[in-house]
Amino acid sequence: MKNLTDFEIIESIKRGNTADFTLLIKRYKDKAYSLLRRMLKNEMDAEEVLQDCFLKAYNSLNSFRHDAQFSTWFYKIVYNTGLTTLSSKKRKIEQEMSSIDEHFDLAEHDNEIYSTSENVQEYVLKMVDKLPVRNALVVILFYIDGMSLNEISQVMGTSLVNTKVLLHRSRTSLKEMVLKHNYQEELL
Amino acid sequence: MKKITDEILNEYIDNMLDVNSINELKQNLENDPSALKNLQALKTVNESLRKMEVYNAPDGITEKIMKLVYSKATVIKKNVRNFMTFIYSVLGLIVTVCSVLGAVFISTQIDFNTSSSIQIKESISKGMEKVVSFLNNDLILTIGSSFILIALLGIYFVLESHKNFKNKLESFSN
Repeated sequence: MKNLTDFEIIESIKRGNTADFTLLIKRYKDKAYSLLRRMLKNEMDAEEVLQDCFLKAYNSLNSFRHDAQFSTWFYKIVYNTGLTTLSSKKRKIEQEMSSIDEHFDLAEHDNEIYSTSENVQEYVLKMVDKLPVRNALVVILFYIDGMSLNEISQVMGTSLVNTKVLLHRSRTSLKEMVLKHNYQEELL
Repeated sequence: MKKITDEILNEYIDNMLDVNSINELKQNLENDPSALKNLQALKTVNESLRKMEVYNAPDGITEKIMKLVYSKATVIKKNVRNFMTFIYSVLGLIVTVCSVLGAVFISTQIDFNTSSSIQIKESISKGMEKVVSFLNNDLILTIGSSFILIALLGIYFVLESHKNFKNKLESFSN
């Protein structure tokens, strides 16, 4: 059963084998949870939303069209549900989501992160959590989930160009912080 | 010399540059220590991000989700059953009302004060004669047959669509 494709699993579930849904859960739960935890910055919320996402996916399996990959379709559910949760918690989502031209300054978190990081990797990863939501999500989907920019743009509903801008801008901001501490020399 | 921007360096990191652009970039980097430093920093960021940790979802999350899935399915099955019960109740009610109205109508046509079994038989046989003479007309027979055929087809399609709808609801709840 482990070698079944997403498509085969979905077809099996549609035929009435509800238990096969566990295969999809096991395949995507960790990456989706990582995304939600970084997005919501709260373990309990992430767990609750994760359950909600899988339930939504299950209930909508009949409407799933195979012209897209299941992973892209599912992450779209995760992304939108995460945003809705953020919004309902009245965090500064409007400010976060307003535009890709938004200004963000990682330097304001530098002292806190730098003083608690033991190495460059830890420093960079902690800084990712300080990026605006969309920037952080592009980075996570690109690096953890190994998604292409095209797939990320489908998940987030942004254009390919804007998605690329978000990734490059995030990486460039992190680069500026790395340069500030001459971290680049550590890996050379 | 073309200025080496962060955009170009990012595209280089993502292998989005063509061979000519890469060669040009490499040449330019030799004469631009600042850009080289930028590239090194970007590579550092890129390497760090590649080691980003995947958080494991909490233990037992699969079981929790499946429990929710099954309970949801039960609720939907119950809803389907309730819906079907409602439909059958409405149909039953309509049939009952029609029967009662029919009985009331027939009873008003018969004068019970003067009626006897003979009178009833006579009235029935007269009525039958009228019906038979009416049906002997070819045109009426054709129209009547057509109506019956259309009605039967209509009933068949209604039942089929009802069956499909029921299957759809049940497959959704499975």
